[in-house]
Amino acid sequence: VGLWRDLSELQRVEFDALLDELYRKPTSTKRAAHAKPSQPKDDRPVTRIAHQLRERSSLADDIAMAKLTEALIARGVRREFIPNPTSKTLEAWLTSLIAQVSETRVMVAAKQIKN
Amino acid sequence: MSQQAHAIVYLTMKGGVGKTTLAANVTRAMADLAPRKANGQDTKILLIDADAQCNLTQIFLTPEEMEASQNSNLYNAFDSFRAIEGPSQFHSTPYTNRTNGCRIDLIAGSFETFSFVLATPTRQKQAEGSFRHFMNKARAEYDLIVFDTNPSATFLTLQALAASDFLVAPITFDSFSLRGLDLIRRELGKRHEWLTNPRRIRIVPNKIKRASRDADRARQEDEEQAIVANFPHLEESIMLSRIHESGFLDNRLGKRGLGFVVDQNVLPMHKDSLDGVRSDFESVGRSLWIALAEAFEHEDENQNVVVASIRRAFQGIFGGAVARP
Repeated sequence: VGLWRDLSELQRVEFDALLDELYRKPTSTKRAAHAKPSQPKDDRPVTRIAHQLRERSSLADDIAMAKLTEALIARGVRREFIPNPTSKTLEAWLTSLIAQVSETRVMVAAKQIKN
Repeated sequence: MSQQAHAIVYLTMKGGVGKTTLAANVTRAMADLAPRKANGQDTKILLIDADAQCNLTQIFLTPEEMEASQNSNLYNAFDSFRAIEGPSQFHSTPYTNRTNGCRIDLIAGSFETFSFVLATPTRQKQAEGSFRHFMNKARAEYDLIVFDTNPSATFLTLQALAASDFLVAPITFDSFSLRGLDLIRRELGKRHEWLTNPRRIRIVPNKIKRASRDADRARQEDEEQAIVANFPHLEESIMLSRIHESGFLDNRLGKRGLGFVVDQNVLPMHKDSLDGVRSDFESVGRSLWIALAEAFEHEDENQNVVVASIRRAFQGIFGGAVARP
């Protein structure tokens, strides 16, 4: 009864717009839950670490660099081995980073970062 | 700072995972990446075939050359008189990088080393003592030592492990490979404590399919994560760099004297594929140098000069120049 009352108050145009919107939305939350997370575009170490930070932890590049720096220092990496993040892309910075700190150590630290 | 070389042992308990191929070709990549030493001397790497099947040796030597190396193969390192001479007296040099001067020497394998398995305990002890002496000389003469071993706990494998301080384990991504490695870590770690330190172990995924589609990459990633989840203590040892499946790496054993994979002459149409293989070896080689530097960074007294300087050398060149021969 409540639903009929709500619908009957709508103009025809409003009703059609509502129907259109319903068609566009995913029909169930189940489909959304099954959607695969995006994948790194290749399996190079830098691509996989950048993907972990950007996609899985949803971090902006500058925040990712800052948080990863913190995480690595907390894990005992000396500051001198971590490059300065100044205006580099995340990939360029990570490339310099894994020339100084082992890629596995960087990935383990990246996985522990939460947004 | 000491000049004592670190020694890497390529070891897993599973056969066919690529130990020998990687021991040869990743070592070659490490040689190409090695920095020049501050004292102007060339960096020297010693490759030792510690597998009585001699597969590593067969990559570099023809049957005739192997026959001719009888008096200079690994068997001599277990002889109390010959061991005193050290490796400089009986090696061949399969590679020298003309740009950075880095040299790889090879101690050929020996079928005769199999005899130690059945030798009396007294004879084994005597052989062990000679080999220790030989290795002390090797550590002083070289900057890095690399052992290729047999996938079982033979006398020779155990000697190589005892002489090493870093383990590289190639794996095909499956539970058996990791379980075999876990067994080494757990059981042999009782004898060699360094095996319980994840920084002293690097696991190199080998024969990985190149997935071009998102869905294939996703499946591959899921499978790998599921396997790694069973061995969380190994996570920090598993390299992100990997060696992809390639026709260039198949069926090389048995074709004698072929040399390093990247030195093959190929048709122009196969050049990109070979470059892909080269790039994989370089990525793993670079990663191993860094791992060595990290593993020993708090042990200044034992730190080798080449390993200590590797980070400085890599600053600014990563992703760029490799010293081409």
